[in-house]
Amino acid sequence: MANSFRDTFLLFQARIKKDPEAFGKLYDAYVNRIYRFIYFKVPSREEAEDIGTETFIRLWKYIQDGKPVAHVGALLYQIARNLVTDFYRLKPERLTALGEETAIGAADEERRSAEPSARDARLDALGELTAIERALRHLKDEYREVIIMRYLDELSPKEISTIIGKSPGATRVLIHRALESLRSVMGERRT
Amino acid sequence: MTTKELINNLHALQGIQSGGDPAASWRAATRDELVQNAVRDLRAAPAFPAHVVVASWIRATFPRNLNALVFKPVLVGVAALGVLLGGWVTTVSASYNSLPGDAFYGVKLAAERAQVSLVAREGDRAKLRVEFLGRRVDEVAKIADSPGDTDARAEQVSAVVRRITEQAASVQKNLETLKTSKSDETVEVARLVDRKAGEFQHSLTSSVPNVPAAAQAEVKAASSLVADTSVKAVAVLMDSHAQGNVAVSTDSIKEKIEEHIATASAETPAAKQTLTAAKELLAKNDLSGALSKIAEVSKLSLEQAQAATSSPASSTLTAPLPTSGEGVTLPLFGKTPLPSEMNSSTPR
Repeated sequence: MANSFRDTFLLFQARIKKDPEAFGKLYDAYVNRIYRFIYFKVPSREEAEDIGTETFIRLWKYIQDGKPVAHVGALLYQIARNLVTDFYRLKPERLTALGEETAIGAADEERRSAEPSARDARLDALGELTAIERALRHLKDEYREVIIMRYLDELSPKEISTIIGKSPGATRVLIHRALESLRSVMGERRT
Repeated sequence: MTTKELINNLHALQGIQSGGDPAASWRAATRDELVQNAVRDLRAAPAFPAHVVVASWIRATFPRNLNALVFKPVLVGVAALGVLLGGWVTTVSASYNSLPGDAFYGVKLAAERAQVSLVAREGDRAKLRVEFLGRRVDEVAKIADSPGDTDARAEQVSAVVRRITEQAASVQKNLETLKTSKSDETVEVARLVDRKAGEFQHSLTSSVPNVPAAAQAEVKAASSLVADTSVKAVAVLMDSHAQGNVAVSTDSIKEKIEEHIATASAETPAAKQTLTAAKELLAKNDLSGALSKIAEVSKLSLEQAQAATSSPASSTLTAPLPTSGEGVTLPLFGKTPLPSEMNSSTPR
């Protein structure tokens, strides 16, 4: 997996041409998906934001050290994974809190902002999405991250395989099992 | 919930903040902080030497995947083509001296067929076929001079004679086609065929005593067929002259008829009588009449040679020749009308 032409050019601008705005553009391109990836792995938004910020600071150091960046996206996911691992290694009790906190608050906020005419449909939809979000947090870590990368960040199985260090075939199997597991968890939580 | 519905809902999570999108305020603030941090670091960093900048620019402009996607396939394609062409050229070169029964003889014939099929002009096709006819004649000479099993050599000669028959028939067809075009190329090809066919006939006649006895009649028949082709080439020249082509003179036609009278094989009384008639007509400056008699002699010789061959050879000598409608028609030239037999001088 190699960088896109745009990423290669931005890396060149940031490192060689010393253009800080080029790094800003790399940030713009990846911040949402990296944040989302972290968000579903940690208990709260604040922690996701802290780890997200640290991920991009590490990327910048990596670039400044002149180390080769074969694929910016893959490197960011790997940095984020390591940081999340460190997060739980330092305080294992955080793992128990992971499944408890959800984005219900945010969902409620969206629910309140909905127009009365669309409220009922939106309530149903948001309820379903909140259920998925809860279920995601109860999945095994490797299942959760491949689902996020595949269906929320829309990475290809090949891209995911590079990030998680498995073959594309094994990654496809993992994604399939993760989906089945998510459906199973959702079923259990409903009953 | 089906798997498809589940996947659709996962996609929908992207669009709402509860699905994991960062808060806009955090996003903007973090960006500012990172860019400011980068500005500070970059100020402190030394400038890169020019060659590093250029090398990095080249890498950025021509990324590695371009190399993988474009340059590598092109190089592999060129290399593969080189190997194929190189292999083909080597094989064809190696096959050049092969004879029937050799492993590469088929390659040699295939290469010749490919050459002919790649040529667009009728004249060029005729020239190539004359060249290949010459190769077959050389092959007969080589087999004749080579030691080895008599039966095997006889089979080799038969195989080559089959090719000579095919090539001669093709050359005659080319002449017919060219005759209708009435171009200078027609004259050029007809002269080439006449000259080369004379050489080929001489070579084949010389080879007859050295080839295995079983194949001698076939070689004689091939020689007669080649002579017949030469006569048809002269007829084309005469036709061209009759239509006013100044490139063909009366003297040159007369000279060629004299050559044919001198080299004609007239072994039967009928052939000898016809040949005498040809000489008399030539003496009277009746070139057309003389040539038609030469054609008769050629036909008689061919029929006699065919009758002398065993069935396999005679069948090869009759199969691919032009039909009566395609025969070379001599023009009215001089005082004597052209005999109708001229059209059917090729063997059936």
